[in-house]
Amino acid sequence: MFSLYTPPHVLTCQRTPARMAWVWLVLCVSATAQQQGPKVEQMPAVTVSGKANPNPVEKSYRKMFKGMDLFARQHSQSPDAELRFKLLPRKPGTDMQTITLAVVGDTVDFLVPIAADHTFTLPHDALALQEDAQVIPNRRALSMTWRTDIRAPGLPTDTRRLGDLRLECKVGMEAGLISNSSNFIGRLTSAALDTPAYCDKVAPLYLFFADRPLFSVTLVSGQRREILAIDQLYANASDDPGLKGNLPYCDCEVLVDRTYVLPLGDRSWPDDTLVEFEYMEGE
Amino acid sequence: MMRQRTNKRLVRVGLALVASLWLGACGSLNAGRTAPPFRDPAMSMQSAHDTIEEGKTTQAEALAALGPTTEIRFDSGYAVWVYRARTAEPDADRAEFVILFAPSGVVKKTRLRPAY
Repeated sequence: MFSLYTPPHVLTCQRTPARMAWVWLVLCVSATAQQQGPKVEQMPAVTVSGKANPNPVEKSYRKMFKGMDLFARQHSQSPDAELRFKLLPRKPGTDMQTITLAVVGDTVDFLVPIAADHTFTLPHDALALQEDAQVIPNRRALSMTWRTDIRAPGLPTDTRRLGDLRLECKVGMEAGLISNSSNFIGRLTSAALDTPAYCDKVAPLYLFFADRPLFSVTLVSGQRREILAIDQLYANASDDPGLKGNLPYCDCEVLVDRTYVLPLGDRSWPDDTLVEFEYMEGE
Repeated sequence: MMRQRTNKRLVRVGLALVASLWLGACGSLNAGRTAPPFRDPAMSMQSAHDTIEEGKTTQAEALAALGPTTEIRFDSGYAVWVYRARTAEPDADRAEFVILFAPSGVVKKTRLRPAY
């Protein structure tokens, strides 16, 4: 099963108000520090409150570490790629430009730099593991979603490598990155399948997001070329008249036009298969 | 009684008629494995593709030429229309003709996908 969205009150109950206040102090102060520049004197005062943001969209450091461990063990599937995690918008209007990310445990805390493409890496930290630290962006729950980003260098423009995407799925499942609520994704994913083995199914419904809105996706291996069917794009919108109503429960809500799934478990397509993208914009 | 018997005979005839129509429909699908998804049953995927001109054909013109179909409309203003061949087997892979309309309502791109 994809990790289902944890109701906010459950998260709130897991933390004492003092700890939450501290967490948000770290995030607010660090956000302020990031924004400081020549106009630092114009920054407004920061108000710290345990209720400032009771619904952070956070992930378990331990689970993400497990994903990193899986990547290390299966790195041969994508030998030239590095593992990065990626933040993506989930709600309209989500500001993706000023995100601050912190790893916070009982005593451990550190900031994680985020690249301009919204990707980041997590350092190995024994104390964060021991304290079951959380990876916390300064955003409300359901405002963003997470994926892995594993890209072999040197590929042709507008292509990805199938082996990289297979590993993205496995690491993403192991790291518990997928945040969906309601039964929507349960239906998409045939329920309780949050293990990397799910990615070995012939046609798993693990949602990938292209860099831009998609028109067509083609698998290419040697002379063999196959265009993905329309029901493998756009979160199966072509066959789901109720999709619009379900979208708020899917982490693809604002990314539908970039969404696709792949026949990850179909081994007739080797890892070096190229996944070619044709975008709506451009030629 | 007579009336009952007549009714039973009528029901039997009706059922036979429905069954033969249904089998006939299945047979026509099975014969060619697929049926065209267009308003004109004689129109092939390729001829539909040839009918649509990128950068020129409008939604109204496409609708008139090909008939109604599934539309996916995005917040960006883009819209995708997909014409999928009808098959007798629900899980069969199907050929598709897909049209992308720009927010202006004019065809931006098209693609033909064969059944694999």
